[in-house]
Amino acid sequence: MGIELVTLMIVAALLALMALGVPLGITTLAVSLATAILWFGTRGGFFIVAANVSEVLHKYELIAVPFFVFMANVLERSGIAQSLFNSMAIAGGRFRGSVGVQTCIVAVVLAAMSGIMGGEIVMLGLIALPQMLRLGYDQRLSIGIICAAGALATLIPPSVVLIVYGLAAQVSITKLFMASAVPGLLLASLYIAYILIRVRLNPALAPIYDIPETALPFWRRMRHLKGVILPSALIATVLGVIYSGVATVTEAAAIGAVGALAVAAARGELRLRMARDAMRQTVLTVGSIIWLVLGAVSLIGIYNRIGGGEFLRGILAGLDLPPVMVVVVMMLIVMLLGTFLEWIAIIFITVPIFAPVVIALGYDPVWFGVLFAMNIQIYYLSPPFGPACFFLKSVAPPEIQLQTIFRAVLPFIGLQAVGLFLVLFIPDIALWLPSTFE
Amino acid sequence: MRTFLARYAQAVDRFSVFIGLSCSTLLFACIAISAAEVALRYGFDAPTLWSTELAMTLCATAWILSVGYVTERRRHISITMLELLVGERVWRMFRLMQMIVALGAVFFLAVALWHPAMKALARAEHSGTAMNSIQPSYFKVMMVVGCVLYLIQLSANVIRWAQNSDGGRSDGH
Repeated sequence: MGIELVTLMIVAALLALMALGVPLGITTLAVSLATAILWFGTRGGFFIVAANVSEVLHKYELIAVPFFVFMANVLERSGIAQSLFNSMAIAGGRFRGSVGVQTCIVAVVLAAMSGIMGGEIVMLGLIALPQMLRLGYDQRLSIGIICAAGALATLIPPSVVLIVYGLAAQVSITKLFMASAVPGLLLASLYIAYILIRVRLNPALAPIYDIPETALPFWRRMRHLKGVILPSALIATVLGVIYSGVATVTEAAAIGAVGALAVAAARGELRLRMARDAMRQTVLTVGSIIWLVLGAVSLIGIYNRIGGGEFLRGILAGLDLPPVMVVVVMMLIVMLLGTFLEWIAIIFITVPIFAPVVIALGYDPVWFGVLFAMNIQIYYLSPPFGPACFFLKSVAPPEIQLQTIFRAVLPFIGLQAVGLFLVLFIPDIALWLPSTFE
Repeated sequence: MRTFLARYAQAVDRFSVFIGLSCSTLLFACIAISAAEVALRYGFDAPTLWSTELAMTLCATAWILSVGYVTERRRHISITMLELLVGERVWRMFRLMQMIVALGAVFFLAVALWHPAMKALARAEHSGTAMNSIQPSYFKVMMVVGCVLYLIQLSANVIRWAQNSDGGRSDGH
């Protein structure tokens, strides 16, 4: 049987099992087991699957994931997001669209504190969305801001997406964290510019609100920034120890987790029940993630062993296209996979195939990692399965329909595509910070 | 028989939840050890040989052993979009098929992992680091234990499905 036919059969089996509702980890595991047995027989197939799967637990960097998930869970249960939002609302002052802009800034800060996506959108959906709707902000603009800004956690360090990419592509996670900082801020700036332009063109989209403190002189409003101090200290500590090389990413994540507890304690919000609930939620989240990783690693291991990786790399390398367009094709494949696969599975399945092609084309895999994370961010918002939209729907007022949310995020998907193309054609946007540190 | 199976499912559910909640303690210890290593290294100039390996071992244990808890809570990540299209009765059959596929895949994974685990038990494999623990052997055995926990919880979920006692849950397996 040729590799082309096997590839088609693997894709068909994956789609069929996923459509049936089989968990993604089990889907990839079942397909990899079936492929291994059919190709190598039971003895050889079992040996290869066991060898592939056993490798997963030896990945030290992977344990940063539960630490960051726990950190996010603690922050989610504390009132930090609310304080941040209140502080920014007063310190930011009174101008048209200010709450939208502040939401973007708060989202950047929350992204730098947690590294995971879903929780941030839920937090913003609970805090910023009611505020914007109450002040008469346009519903679609408000929804779009929250989904897009909340998804920045995919890109802004310490992003869990980049940790998993770093593991799969075997590139420095610290470098990825450096490279993604500027593109993350670039996207946030694009969102802010878009908000300001839209509300200038159509003032009805964002009425100027009136909180007495916002009329105070600038230096007096700065007093209200105290809600930003603790989160900023936490971010500076986590990113500081990573960038300075003082600690590994995993250790930095552990420091961040302990720091999140310390911040909650300093705010008088730390309770045993809160820490316990955060940890239980963490167990549930990472307990499901590990089976995704096991399944994906098993599948790609077998697929590479039967020559599938070489086959796909050959197709990509043989495309009669300029190198940058080959990268665009890869991005399109990731986008397509994003409509039915979870991002962890996408990374573990595609990156081992794509990364060698990227290097062979003369590109930096760190830069490709940033593009990858930006692409994941687009899929995170895109209909019909954009998880960000579903997260927001779960906390939005019932009258806001899913269709409204999907329509609201469309302009922001456009802005994400602009950001992606900027980084694609000007790689220095991502690479200048890591090269400066070197 | 029906009562016996219902009690079995109930006992398995409780066991999985107990193990899962215990895993949260392991993760907490893992965080404390990793953070303490930084403090020991820079605060006391006393880096340890054991923290990395111990943290990895604890985390991997929590990861693997929490599978029963995750399965009991039906928190495995799956796409359930067809549920809206096919209706409740068909989706109920889909759920049975999901569990059968999972039982088969995890059973074969356990079979695949069994031989390496037994080999690792008969002759301990060491990590080759400064600590040189028996972590590789431990991981191989834990993977088999994880598969067994998964299978046991899946069997309880199948019983609940057959007895219609899963609270009318319509999500994944």
